[in-house]
Amino acid sequence: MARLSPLWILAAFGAALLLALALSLRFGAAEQGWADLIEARAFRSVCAMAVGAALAVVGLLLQRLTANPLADPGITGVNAGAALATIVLAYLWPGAGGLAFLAVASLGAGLAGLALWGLAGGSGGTAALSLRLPLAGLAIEALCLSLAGALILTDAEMQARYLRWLLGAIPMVPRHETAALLAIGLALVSGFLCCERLELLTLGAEQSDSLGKKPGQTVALVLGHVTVLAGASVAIAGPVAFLGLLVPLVAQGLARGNLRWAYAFALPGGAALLLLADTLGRVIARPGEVDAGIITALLGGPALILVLRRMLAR
Amino acid sequence: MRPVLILSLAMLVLAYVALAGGREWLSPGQVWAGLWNPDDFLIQVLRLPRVLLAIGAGMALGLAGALMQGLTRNTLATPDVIGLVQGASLGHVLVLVAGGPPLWGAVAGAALALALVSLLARGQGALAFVLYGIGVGATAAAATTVVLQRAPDAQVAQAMLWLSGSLSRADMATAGLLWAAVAVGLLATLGFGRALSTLWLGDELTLALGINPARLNLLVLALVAMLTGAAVLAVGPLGFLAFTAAPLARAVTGAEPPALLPAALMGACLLVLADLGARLLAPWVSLPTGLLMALIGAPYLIFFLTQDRRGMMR
Repeated sequence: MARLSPLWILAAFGAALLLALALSLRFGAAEQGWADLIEARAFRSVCAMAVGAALAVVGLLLQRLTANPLADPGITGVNAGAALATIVLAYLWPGAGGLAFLAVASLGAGLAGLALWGLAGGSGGTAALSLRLPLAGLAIEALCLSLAGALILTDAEMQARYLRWLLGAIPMVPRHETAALLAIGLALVSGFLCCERLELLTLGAEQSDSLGKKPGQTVALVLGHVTVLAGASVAIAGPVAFLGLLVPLVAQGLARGNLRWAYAFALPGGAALLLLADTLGRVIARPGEVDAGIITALLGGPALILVLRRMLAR
Repeated sequence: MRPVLILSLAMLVLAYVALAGGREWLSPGQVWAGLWNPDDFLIQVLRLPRVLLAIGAGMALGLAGALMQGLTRNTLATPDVIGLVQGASLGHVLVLVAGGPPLWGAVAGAALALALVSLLARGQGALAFVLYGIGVGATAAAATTVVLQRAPDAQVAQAMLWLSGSLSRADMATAGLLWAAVAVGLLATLGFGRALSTLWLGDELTLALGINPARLNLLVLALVAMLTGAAVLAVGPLGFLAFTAAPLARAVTGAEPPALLPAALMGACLLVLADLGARLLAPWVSLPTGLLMALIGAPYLIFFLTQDRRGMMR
C-alpha cells in the first residue's frame, strides 16, 4: 500500500471534523424549529470540540511519557480526581468562578496522578506498571466517583447541576466554561511546542540532556500540560471516559511514531469523535438524551480490548 | 466449622439490628411481635423484605466471588470486576424492555459476559483475564444506560433506582426468586464440597484426586452465572461485594481458602450493613446502597494493590 502523505491524513481529519460539526449543528433531541436551537448547539459544539481535543492530547502525551498505551485520563483515574475536586469546591463554595473551578480541577487531576504513580508504580518496574495501571486507576476512579456521587446526592441543587455531569455530559447552556475553554486553547498550542522535547526524552534521557533539554524539565512541562488540560476538560464536561485511549491509538498508528504529526492528528480526531458521540447521544433516545460520556464508554470497552491485544501480542 | 458459626452469628445479629433500626427504633419485643403479625407494616412490608433481599444478594455475590476466585486462583477475577455483574444488568434491562422473564435475561447476560471474557483472555494469564473483563464491563454498563434511556419513562424511573444498586424496591416475590437461586448454590456447595475445596489447588491435583476438572469448571461457571444473575436482578449491579467478601471472611475468621460458606455469610453481613447504613443516613442524604458498597470496596482494592506490589498481579 502506498504511504499516504501526513498532510493528506490531516486534511482528511479536518474534513471529518467539519462534517461532525455540521451534523452536530443540524441534529438534536428536538427536531422542530432548529433555527432557534442553533445558538445553543453552537456553544455545545465548541465545548465538545475543545474537550475532545484536550482529552485526546492528554492521552497522547501520557502514553508517550509513560510508554504505556493504556494511559488514558479516564482509565488512570486522573479525570475522576479532577471531578471529585470540582464537586468538593461546588459543595463548599457554590458561587465560585470559572477560574477557581479550573484551578481546583487541575489540582485534583494532579493529585490523582500522584496517587496513581504511588499505587501502580513502586518497585515492580515498568513491565508491572504497564498492566497494573488500569487496576490502580480503577481503584482511584471508583473511590473518587463514589465520594463525588455521595456529595452530589446531599443537595437537590447539586443533583440538578452535577448528577449527569458526573458521567460525562457536554453542557447545553453556558455556566462558567470561559476560563476552561481559554485554558484548553492555550495549552493545546503550547503543548505542541513541547512535542520535540518529549520526543527527545523518549529517545533517551542522556541524549536529551546532552542537547540541552533537561529531562526533569520536560517531564514537569508535559505533566503540567496534562493536569491543566484534564482539569479544564473535566470542569467543562465532567469525566469523559476512554476518548484519550481511542484517538491516540489511531493517531499514533497513522503518524508512524512521529509525535508532532500524531499531535496534529489527535486534535481534529478527538474533537470530531466527541462531537459525533454527543450528536449520536442526542439522536438515539429522543426525546431524551444519552450523554456523550456514555457513548464514549460504549466505544471504550472495544478500544481497551484492542489495545490489550496489541500489548499482549508483543 | 468455627468460621461458619462466627459469621452466621454476626449475620443474625446484623439482621436483627437491621429489623429493629431505622428512622424508628423498635424494642426486641416489638420486632418479635412484628415478625409474627402479618399486618405489621413496618416489619412485614418495609424492613423484612429488605433484610431478606440483602442477605440473599449478599450470599449470592459472596459465594459467586469465592467460586470465581477459587477457579481462577486470582483474587481480582470476581463477577463485579470482570464484567459479569454489568453483563447481567444489560441482559436484565434488554429482557425487561422486550418483555420476557427477567431472571433468565440477567443469568444469560452474566453467562455471555463470562464466555466473552474467557474467550478473549484464553491463555494470556491472570491479569489479562481481569483487564479484558474491565473492558467488557465498561461497555456493558454504558449499553445498559443507553437501553434504559430509550425505554418508556415509567420503566426508566424504576430501573434507574435499581441501576444505582438500591434495595428500596424490595418485595417478597423477588426475594423468593433470589433465595431459590441461593438455595441451589448453597446445596451445590455442600454437595460438591470436597471437589470444590480442591479448586485452589489447581488442575493437576484435582485430576490426581479423581475429579474431572472440565466438568468441575463447567459446574462452577454455571453456578457463578446463576448466582450473579439472581443477585443483580434483585439489587442491581452492586460493585465490590463479590470482590471483598471472600478475602475479608478469611482475614476475619482465619478460614482456609476457598472458604465458600464463610464468603457467602460475609457477603450477607456486608450487604446488610451497607443497606442499614444507607437507611440510617436517609434522613440527611439518601445514598444508594451500591454507592456505600463502593465506599467500602474501593479502599479495599487500594489496600490490596499496595499489599500485592510484588505478588501475582504483575
